[in-house]
Amino acid sequence: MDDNEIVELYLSRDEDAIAQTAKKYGFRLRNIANNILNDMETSKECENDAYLEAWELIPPHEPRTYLFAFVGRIVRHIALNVCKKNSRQKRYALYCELTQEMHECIPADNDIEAEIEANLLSSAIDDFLEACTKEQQNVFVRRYWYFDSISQIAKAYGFSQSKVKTMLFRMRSGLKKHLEKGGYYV
Amino acid sequence: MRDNDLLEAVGGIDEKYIKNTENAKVRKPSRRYIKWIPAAACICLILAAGFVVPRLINQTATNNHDSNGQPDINAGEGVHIPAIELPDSSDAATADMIGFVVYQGRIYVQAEEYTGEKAQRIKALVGEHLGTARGNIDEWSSQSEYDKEFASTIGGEVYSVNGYDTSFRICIWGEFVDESNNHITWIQFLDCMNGITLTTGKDLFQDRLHITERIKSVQWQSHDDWDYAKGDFKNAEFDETAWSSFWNAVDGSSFKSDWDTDADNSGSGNSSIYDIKNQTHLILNMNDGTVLRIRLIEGGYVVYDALGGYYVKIPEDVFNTIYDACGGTH
Repeated sequence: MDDNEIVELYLSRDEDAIAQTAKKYGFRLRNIANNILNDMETSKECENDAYLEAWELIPPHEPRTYLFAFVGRIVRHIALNVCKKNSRQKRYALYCELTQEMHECIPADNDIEAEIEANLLSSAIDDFLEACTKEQQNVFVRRYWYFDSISQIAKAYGFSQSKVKTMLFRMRSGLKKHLEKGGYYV
Repeated sequence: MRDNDLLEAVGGIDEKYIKNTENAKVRKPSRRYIKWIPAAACICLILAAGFVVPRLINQTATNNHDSNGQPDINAGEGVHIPAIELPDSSDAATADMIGFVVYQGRIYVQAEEYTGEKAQRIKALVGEHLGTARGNIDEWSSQSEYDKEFASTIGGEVYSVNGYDTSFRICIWGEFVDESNNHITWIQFLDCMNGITLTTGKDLFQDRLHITERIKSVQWQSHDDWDYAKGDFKNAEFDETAWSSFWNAVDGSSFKSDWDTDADNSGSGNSSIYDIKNQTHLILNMNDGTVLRIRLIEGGYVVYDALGGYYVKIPEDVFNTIYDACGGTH
């Protein structure tokens, strides 16, 4: 069943929409959560919560051509929230590692913490990615959206691990400069 | 701005970047997706952290050319590609997905796939029925389930492939019904390129793939075109002598591993030959209807794309005659 047909089920409030979403994308959605949490049971809970949230969001949203990205974004957000809530009880190694990497992108004059609207930041990252090559975009997204490990990315694209690390390092430097130019600091 | 603000914000990027990663060409050496095929019992596998792609057990890697620059088949010892180790626990700390079938104690891994008309063209290659791949392996399978003959992540009927040794190649042949209710023929090759030793190029390119014996035509694709899967294939033009010299050099050269960290794999300080930006891609159309992909990397490196990470290196004068004629850049 293609995305358009599944979205139609959501719009007509047919509960088979969730079963069809799970059938088509469940494995990959669990994978995103598991990359973050390293806990399959909790990942399955995140996946189920994501379906419920998608049910609430469609309509008004109609992700007819990007259903995976839509639900994937939700499950990613849910898994990250689990990380933040449980950070004292359990150390999520990859979440900590990637947070540390992102720290390099924070503009230099960030002396005062400020609530930057999330949408603005996402748009800034979009602008940054637009100027990158497809290869760079894919590696960045696989690392910071999918939470893939360096070795997974290297295997997927036939790169050496050192090449992946170098690409990510350069992209983080580029993102930092881009954010500084855009005034994303106080 | 906090560290996790950025990580959160990445979640809100334009969905086109997510879709592009789905469409991006997945390269070898090791990552192979099992395509979801409704009529066959395909199951995607999450393997445990202990499952890694075959690593080189380092043999002495010596210079494989004599003083005249000719390949010296007596110099190098080639490479031994260890047998794939299947996981011994279901702890999915690291995820990977691979299609495989266990047959006669060997692991055959998903290789070229043909569907529809392309599958019909090679249907005559489907040989003797060997058994049924059970498609019984998933991320929750126990170790004992991996040990059985025809344990697999892909379900279907397994056959030999006419013209290829079953120690190297088998296939799954079947039909499925697509969303428009059309019956589609599907042939999935599965190759065993682990638990073997490749001494020279001949061991792979002739003894297993029969390239010079069965080549029908050659096309090429620039590296940029391949990278973005644009599909702009051009017919290769070079003379037979150059082609013959090229394969003589490949057949006589020792195999090396890109993971051999003691070797300067590119001659210019790169840790991997894949770091060399000048490359081109050959598409070999064989007279049995099959297709092979060979990557040429500036400097004389010849790679069979389905066996990423291992290569032969031939003298650049012989190499460049074909490389330059097939869109190779310097």
